[in-house]
Amino acid sequence: MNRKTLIVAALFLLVVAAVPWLGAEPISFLEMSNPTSLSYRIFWELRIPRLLVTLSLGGVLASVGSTYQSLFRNPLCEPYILGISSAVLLGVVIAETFFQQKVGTPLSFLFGFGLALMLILLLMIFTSSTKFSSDRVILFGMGANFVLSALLFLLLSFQTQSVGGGTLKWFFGFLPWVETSKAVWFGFGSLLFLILLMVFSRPIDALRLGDSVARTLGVSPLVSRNSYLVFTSLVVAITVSVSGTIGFVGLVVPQVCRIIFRPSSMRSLLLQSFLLGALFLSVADGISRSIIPPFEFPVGVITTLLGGPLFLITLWKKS
Amino acid sequence: MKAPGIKIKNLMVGFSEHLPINQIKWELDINPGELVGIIGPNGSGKTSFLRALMGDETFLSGEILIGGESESVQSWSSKKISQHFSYLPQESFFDSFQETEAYLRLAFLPRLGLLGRMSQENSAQLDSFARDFELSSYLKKRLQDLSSGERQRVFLGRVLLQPSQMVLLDEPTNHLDPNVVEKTWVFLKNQKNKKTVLVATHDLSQVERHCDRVIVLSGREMLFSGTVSEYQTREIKRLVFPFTY
Repeated sequence: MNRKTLIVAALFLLVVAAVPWLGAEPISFLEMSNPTSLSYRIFWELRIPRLLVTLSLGGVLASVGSTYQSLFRNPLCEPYILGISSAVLLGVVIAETFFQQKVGTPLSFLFGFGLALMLILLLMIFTSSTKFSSDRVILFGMGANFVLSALLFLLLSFQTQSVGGGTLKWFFGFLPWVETSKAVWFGFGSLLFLILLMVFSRPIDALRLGDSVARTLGVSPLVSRNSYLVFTSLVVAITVSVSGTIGFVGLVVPQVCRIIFRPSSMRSLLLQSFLLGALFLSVADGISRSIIPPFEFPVGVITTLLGGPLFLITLWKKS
Repeated sequence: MKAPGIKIKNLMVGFSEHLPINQIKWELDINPGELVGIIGPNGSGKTSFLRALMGDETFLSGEILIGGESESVQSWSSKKISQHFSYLPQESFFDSFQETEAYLRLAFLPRLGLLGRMSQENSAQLDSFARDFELSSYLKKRLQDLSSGERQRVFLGRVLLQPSQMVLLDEPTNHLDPNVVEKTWVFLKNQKNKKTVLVATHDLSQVERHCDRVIVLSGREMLFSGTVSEYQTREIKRLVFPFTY
């Protein structure tokens, strides 16, 4: 354990301990010993589950981001930039507009996942026609994002648009209040996802050296890249169905991890991204709830406002 | 494992049968354990040739048989390819924040345990190789903190460290200073009979001094393949590189 790891671990514990105390309703420390008090119930039945969901989502977003960046050998690649998040969102909005399926129902999720898979299929066709180039992947993502956003706004113009409680908050990304049992599922699910990615991370290490070299390291570029895309898009579909599109976590966190920790393998990068992503989203959530309580800013706005400048600083430092 | 020979039969690779400009035709035998220099002007097909050898190009016709294998290389599994080849591309992709040691470990990627542990034997191999190849002082440095020449040596090191029977190198001495160029060629020469090594290069004098066989490509055709003395007596160099005289 080096000093940086210890500092981040300490920060992590500090944030985890502090964030549940922030929010609209002040928590009285004295009442915490009384299980029937309001403070106690808010703390354990609302804020702790919310924290667990936040940590899970932040971790998953950042580890998916680091996977995409390595798969495509480009620091700009993440589900948000490639349009995969928008595809899920469009599916969810289609399900809501035409089939009256509220977000969170199985059909709504299937629509989102289905659209994400269709986009990935297009991406596969687009990239397999010529020699693989990460620039083309980024351009594909830009094109896809433009078209998907236009379609989303087209659909939304039929609906009542409202920020905060309405559909528009999906664009900015937000964190849900959930029951404890659901939050525990999120926690387990995200850990399982991290472990699976870490166990099967070796092909990603090989792909970072280029497709031809990857083959001489025993990895089939096409098969492994596509398997990771399909597997992670399932997880992206889940996160978007829960929290909308939260930007910048997947883009910035892996970059910052590389700079701070110099991970020696994809496996360490995944773990570091997960922890730092969880930390970053929790901080953003704490901020979003304490600027003007009881108003809660969409957390995606905060991550973008924090992440954008951070991203520019890393770019500046790199050059 | 013994170094394999290569048999290339009636090979034609390219993007499309209707675009003859991208087609390359070859017919050739390479003996086991040879050090082979591949020379030719820019765009003569050196890179395509190396990539074709490991089945990374689209085969329009013909086949490449490696060692005693009966199956042509383009239908090999990635696992089989990893057991036979290590490859240095002309431009290497790398993660700039990665440290040299972690990068070199990738040479043993197919052999790492489930938890990513490197065997003690491989670990010792890496250390002794780093000493021989004078990379020891870089091990804890990030790749982005090395000069392009130092980095090229690390890339080359990863390829030579990889336990494979055939080494394909695409302009390996780019960015290297004359001392290192010399050392690299001597190192390659010492691999003789252990590994079959093919080097695409513009370093004509080194090829003449160290290689067993020379392959000359021009206009995406194979102009010549033979021993160095045959190459010298037939004055092919004058034909392909008239301005070097």
